[in-house]
Amino acid sequence: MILYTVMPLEQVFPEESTVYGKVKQVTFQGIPLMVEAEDFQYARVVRVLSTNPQDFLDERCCPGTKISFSFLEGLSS
Amino acid sequence: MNNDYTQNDMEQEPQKEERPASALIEKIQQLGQTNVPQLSSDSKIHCLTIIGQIEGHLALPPQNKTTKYEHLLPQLVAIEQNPNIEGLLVVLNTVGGDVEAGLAISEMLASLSKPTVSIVLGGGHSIGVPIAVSCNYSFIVETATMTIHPIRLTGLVIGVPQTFEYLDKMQERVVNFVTKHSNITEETFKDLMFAKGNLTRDIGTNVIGTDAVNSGLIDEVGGLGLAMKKLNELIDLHKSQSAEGLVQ
Repeated sequence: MILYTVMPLEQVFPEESTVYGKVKQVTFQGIPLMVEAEDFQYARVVRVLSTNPQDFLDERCCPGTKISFSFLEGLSS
Repeated sequence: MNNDYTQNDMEQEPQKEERPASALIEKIQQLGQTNVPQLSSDSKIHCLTIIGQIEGHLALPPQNKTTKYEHLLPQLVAIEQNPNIEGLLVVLNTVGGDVEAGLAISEMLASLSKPTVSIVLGGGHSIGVPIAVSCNYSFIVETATMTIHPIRLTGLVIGVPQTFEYLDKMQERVVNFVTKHSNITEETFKDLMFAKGNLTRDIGTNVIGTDAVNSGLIDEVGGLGLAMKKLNELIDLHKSQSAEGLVQ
């Protein structure tokens, strides 16, 4: 099949459901974070979701830091 | 007792995988600087960032930067409930997105009892407009733009007149909200919305900084310093008003 369209590829073909599952919302000592599973033990912080500007200065959870899963709450899977 | 406390705290600390020797380099890589200023007390002003696309019922692919309403709404509830938080600063740089999610955030902000101030940085397009005007006072930086355009629909559309009426009603909700929460008149807003020739091959207007203030949409041109000053003023006013309420 040849598809002639000006639409971007990702709009024609939906993303696979696996790519959605990678990033998860968790809380780390009361700070809501978006994390990505690095391996079985660690998660990498993608984004800080808190509204408290002080949480953005907390170097324990600045984006890119690895945090052990045992410190995270709210992991659904 | 105190020692026990600190020890417990230490145990609560997450274990860093990296050695402390590389911590400095890591910090430079992550933040571009070696240390960030640490303030001892909790902030009485919280900051809500509306960035990227406003995500509604449909989850966008992960490479899109999105603001999810299911993240924001509970945070707004928490801000309303927390007595230590006295004001809220809303920072907008959005391309717009889901109308209903955007209106939900706008309504939550408008009904928040604490003082709110918004700043539009870069862009506050389409559904970002009601969010910007929903705050008690709104700022726009000189270089920021806001696109005002009619509502669009993606997905399955049934080609019947009722679809148009549905769209028209949805648009009316946005127009009503914006005119109610800003100084712009319905006539001016609709003029901007249906203007031709401003956007190439599209209907609408792109208002930049001072134009947004002149049309009455945004209260003032200004950046972070002015916004914080205004927010502190509003907080003081709010405090004195609630104190008067207690006396009576």
